[in-house]
Amino acid sequence: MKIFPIFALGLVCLSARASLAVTRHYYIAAEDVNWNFAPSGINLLNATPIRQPWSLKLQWPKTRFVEYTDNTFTVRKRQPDWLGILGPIIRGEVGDEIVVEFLNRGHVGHDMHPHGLRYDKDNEGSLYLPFGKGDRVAPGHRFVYHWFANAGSGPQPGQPSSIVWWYHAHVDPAIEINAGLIGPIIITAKGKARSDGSPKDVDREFVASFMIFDQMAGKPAGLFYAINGFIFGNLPGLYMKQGERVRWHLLGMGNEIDVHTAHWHGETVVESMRSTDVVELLPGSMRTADMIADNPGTWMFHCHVEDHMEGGMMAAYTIYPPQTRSCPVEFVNGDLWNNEEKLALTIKNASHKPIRQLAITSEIFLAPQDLRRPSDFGWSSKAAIAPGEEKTLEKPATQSESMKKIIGWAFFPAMVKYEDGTEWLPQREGECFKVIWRDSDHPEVPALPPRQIEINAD
Amino acid sequence: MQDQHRWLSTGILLLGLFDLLGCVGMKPTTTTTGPGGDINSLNHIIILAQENRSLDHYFGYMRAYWAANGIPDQSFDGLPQFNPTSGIAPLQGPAPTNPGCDPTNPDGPDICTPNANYPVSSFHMQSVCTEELSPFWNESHEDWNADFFYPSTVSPLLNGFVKSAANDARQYTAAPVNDINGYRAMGYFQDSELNYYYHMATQFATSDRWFSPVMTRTQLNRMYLVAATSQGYAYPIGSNSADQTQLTATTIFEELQNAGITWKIYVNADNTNCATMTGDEQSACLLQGYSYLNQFSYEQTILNSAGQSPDLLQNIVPMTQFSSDVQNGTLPQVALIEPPSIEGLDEHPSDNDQYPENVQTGASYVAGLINGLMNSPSWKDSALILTYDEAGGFYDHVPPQTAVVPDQYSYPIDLQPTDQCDGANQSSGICSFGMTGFRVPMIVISPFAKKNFVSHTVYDYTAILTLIEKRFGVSALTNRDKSQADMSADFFDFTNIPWATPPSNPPAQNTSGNCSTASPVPNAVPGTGR
Repeated sequence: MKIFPIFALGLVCLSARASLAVTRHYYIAAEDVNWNFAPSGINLLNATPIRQPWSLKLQWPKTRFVEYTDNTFTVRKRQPDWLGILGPIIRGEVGDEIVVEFLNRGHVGHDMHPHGLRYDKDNEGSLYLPFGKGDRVAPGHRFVYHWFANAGSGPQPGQPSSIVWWYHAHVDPAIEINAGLIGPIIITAKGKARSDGSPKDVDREFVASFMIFDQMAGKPAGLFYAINGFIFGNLPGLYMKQGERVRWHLLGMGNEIDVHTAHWHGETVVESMRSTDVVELLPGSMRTADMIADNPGTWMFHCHVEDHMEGGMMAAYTIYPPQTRSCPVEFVNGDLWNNEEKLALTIKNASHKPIRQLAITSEIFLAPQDLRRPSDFGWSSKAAIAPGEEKTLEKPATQSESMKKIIGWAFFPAMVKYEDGTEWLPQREGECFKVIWRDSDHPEVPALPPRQIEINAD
Repeated sequence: MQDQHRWLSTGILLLGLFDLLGCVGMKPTTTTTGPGGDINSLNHIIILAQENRSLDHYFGYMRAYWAANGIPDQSFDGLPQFNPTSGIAPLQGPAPTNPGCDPTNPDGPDICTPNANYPVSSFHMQSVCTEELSPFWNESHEDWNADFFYPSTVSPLLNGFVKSAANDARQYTAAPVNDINGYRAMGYFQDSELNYYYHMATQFATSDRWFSPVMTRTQLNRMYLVAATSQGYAYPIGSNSADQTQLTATTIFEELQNAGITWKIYVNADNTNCATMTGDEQSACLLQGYSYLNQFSYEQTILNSAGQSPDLLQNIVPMTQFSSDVQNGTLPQVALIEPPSIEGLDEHPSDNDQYPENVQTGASYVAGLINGLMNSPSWKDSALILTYDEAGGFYDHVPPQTAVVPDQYSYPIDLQPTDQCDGANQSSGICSFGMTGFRVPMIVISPFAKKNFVSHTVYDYTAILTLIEKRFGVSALTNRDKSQADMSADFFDFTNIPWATPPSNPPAQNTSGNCSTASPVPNAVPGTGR
């Protein structure tokens, strides 16, 4: 059955610089997880409570596709935060072979069914008559799928250089898709891909799936109007630099109520050879839209269907301006979790002038995207700091148990006064920031999310 | 006079009809009018808690007002500079100050660093509209002590009001706030702005030891107003992962319902999405959207009773019904008037300078309610208690008082890391629920309210619940209301009925004051050098 030649992994990397067909290997497991549709517990777009009924229970058992580094399935591959509940992006260039070793760690049979790629019956990953070998992988078992990106898998003339397809489980698809066994395939036109499969003419790609997860057989408390599995602004990581060419791959899935209209504030996109800021999605839809990120700011990205907005089908994306001047201080490291008595932050004078006095602002992440200003957020030094010199600032700490709930500390200079009488003041909030994460493998963020400030206080 | 008389007769007739038609299955309550009555003469208790004003900020000028108008002096602990130099204590003292922000901003422009060399003195507010301040948990504790850090620095210095107001302007307000130096926290009003309230507080019964129940903001205080607890919350529901669920505490309304005592919550529907609805649909809309009872799981009980018997939604009514209930003698035994926040009549500082909120239009609205009550058949056996949910971050010179912890939640369960008191885990004292908030203004308006009376007994306003419980024979909700002194023995005189005839000519509330949030302070603030 293995009709395709199998290359060694090293060869894939070597051959990829030229536009030769390559074989791309993926190691993906189906795993039962506890999924929280809103890890912050709040509506991050206006710092208000998530309304009932959704607030009653935000965390639910789901099943997801999870990527590993090799077929030992021991080391998870970290995927971008913004993919959320989606499985890993499976990439290919037209002409490539895609080999997915699938391990079912779930408690019932699952499989993997790709849209858009060429497969034979055994590699279809769909349970119906006549059966194929990969149509149901029992719990604890594996199957290696071989798929092929042929001409029909890639963009046609007039389409963008890369397009998106769904993959999902198809043993009991309605249940499995609702469980979260879904993910994107992105296929780039022949000759237009970088070695990793991404299109050369685009700086950044995002995938956003619009789908209502039904946890309670249609009862309102169990309907989660989610973008990539997150509601009410809890989808993290949609950052892009001003001026970047950004491609949005949009996916629709679900049931009769999954009629979605993805809408960006702040920018227009080009989609299906038209200029628009709303893209229509039906269950199973796959659309690709291109944006020039030229309007810096944090903007809403949401479904324009009213009931779906009410239900939280919204996120925020941030276009951050490039840092055009040098920063006066560097944040070297911090002792922020392990000392019950005090907090310590080590900074370095990154300028060429002696600093006479400085003030640092600190903010805390309580969840991804959930940035808050602590009650005592100022750190200051009134001692001279020579260029290149490091200095450790300290503050008294409260109980470490509570401090451990902080997943990251963001620091940025609020004011720097030099010995020569000149002064550095931030030109925008958070300029020259650095986040020190509690968990060392937390991905870096290129910009800070909006700070949580209530719109109407009492 | 003849007109008024006719009104009265009509009212009595309607009241009689109501008695015949309604109240089936209700516990009979005594209606005793005339001399020699007791607390059972009081058949309607009406609660109106407006928003965010401290006692000194509203009534600190009271004794100067009395002196200027030939009203006999008595003890009233307002702003010290307005006390007399001799006679009844407390006597005159210097005007209070708070350290202002160091103009060199040593900790950066986002932070007000209090510096005693730049004091901000108590001053007469130059605008009847004020910008937003913050009365939240952290800020309230910093008001109490600008250097608050538990356990090392917690003594009550009441020196952080300016700092909190300045930092609110510098850091937290969505709309720009001009007063980044926090002067507004030290501003007070006089009878020139609040002529109606000064008059009524003088005529009727008031207090100089009346505190909000908890040292944080609106939602939590309003939980205490109807349930005498916030069940461990220091933040509004849904602020973080620790405070997601509605309170399960018994509210006074549930207790009254079970005892067969009538109750209503009046909610302003004007300019809300509920305005065009009717019946249960409107009641559900008002309850869910505009009544603070939506903080309790009892909300669900009420919603689920739609179309049942009893249909509890019928107790949630639009504010327009208040005047007809007053005039028709159909007031319930206990009424709560929700603040008309959507209408901008709740006396709250402005959330946004573009839509300044005016204390005089708010006071004028309240005056209309009170005057309507006084000129109605309902007057004879009613009491309206006007107060404020919390002090709003405005300076007050009397520190919060130790109080009884309401229930098993002695310490907040939803403080965030680095919040004031986080990790303190106290069961009494400043970080616990064994402490009131700051003083707030209050007036008891009732035929039974003592004339020209000032109570000096310490209460927090869960004492209103205690009064209801005593009158209608229901039990205390928590240890907090259980521990309050008895208002009925203090503010009221049921024997002589001091105001059987209400005061004849209360002044019309001024509404012509200067509303300019851009200039809350006079050109020269004492001690600020500006």
